[in-house]
Amino acid sequence: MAVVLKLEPYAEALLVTGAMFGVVAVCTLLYALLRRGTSARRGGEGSEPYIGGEAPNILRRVDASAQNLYWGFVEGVSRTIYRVLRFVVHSGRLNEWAGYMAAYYGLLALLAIISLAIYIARLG
Amino acid sequence: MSWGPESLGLLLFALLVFPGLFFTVALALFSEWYLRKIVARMQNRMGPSYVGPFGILQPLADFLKLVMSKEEVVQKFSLSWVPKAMALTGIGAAVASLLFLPISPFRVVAPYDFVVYLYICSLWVPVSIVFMGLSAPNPFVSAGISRLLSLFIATEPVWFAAVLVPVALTTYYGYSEMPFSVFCTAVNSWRLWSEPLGAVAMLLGLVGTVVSIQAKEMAQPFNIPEAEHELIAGFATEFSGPVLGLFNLVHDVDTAVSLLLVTYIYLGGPYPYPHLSVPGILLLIVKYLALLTVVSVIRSSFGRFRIEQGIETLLKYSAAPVAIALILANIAPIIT
Repeated sequence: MAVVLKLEPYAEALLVTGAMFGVVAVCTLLYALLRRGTSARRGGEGSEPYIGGEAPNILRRVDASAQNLYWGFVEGVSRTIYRVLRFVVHSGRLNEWAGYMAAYYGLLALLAIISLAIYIARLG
Repeated sequence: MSWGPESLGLLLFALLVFPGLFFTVALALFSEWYLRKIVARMQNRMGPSYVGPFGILQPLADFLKLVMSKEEVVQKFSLSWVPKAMALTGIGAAVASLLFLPISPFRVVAPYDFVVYLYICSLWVPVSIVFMGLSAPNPFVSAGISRLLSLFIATEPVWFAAVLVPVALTTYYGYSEMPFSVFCTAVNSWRLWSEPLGAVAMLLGLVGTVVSIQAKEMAQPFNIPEAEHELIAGFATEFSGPVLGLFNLVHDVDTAVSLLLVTYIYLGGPYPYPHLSVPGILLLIVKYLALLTVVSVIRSSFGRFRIEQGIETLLKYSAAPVAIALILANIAPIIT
């Protein structure tokens, strides 16, 4: 015969949590019975962390080194700058280099003219 | 009802025997055997064959070997009792969650108790698995745990929503005696398939639920936190002997309990037949096995996803259908 217990949600949460820990207690007892006569071994073979054959000192390296950060920046963030430098500036063709430098100097000249105009306007 | 020795005895029976600890462990081990057998057949292998008829006792033999015979080696930096205590807590939580389902002779019911269900089943079990892994520090374990948490953050809300779909439908269609109750949903969910829009919502929710179960149980293609050949065994790298046995058991118990929940709240359990009838029992078994077969076939049909592929798949094929199902669940009873 089945029993349906109608409760408030809080009471239900308490009952089910209590039931859970009851089952945990029985499980613990059963586990202790299954493992009786044995004890855990700490130390000796197999007690080192498994790190795939690496030397244990890699575990001491908790922070990324400055060299790693440098290469992380070079490989990751500055890749687009490198691409521009390699494929546009250093493409090996003189007219491409001249075009790039002319555009760059043109930009600088434009910025200089604008700055000068703003400076003169402020003076006036 | 009033409390008495009889109801206390029934509660103990429900927690420890049926559908409690012993039945759940037996169901979990059977489910593992069934899953291994299906996966082996799909890969043109035999699967477990030697222990018991058709190898059905192989998972039990594996568990007993790990727990009884193997030496327990404690890693230098680990907490020796934490993984065992957490595994047993996970098993206890999964077993206690069965009190919400009509399969238990002692049922608990309360308004809005799907939240209590999610607290007991979807909080304690994942947390216990995470703490099991964290108790033994290791670079592979750290990577596995970070993947596990990423996957949980995507999976658990989808699972909550998937549980909510039939619960909301049962409430809004007026089939439920108590609002948003898991027990009332499990008893009445079979009626939802006769409602035109309700059936669509249930179908979408079921699809999303099956996908989210794969991710929740870290089965292929979502076995990203373990990731053999890449992270050794991920968060389980340091598990060995009895701790490995307990971890396998808590994982299997969680799978079995989750599938049982879906069998009830989506597929209707044994209803319209009563539990204690031959058609009822057969219907329940057939539905459970059908669900387990689908999960096994998905598992053996895919390779492992990368973490971002896994989360994207989860959002596409689980979160999206479940979200549509939830919207339908809210508007369907108003339209019809």
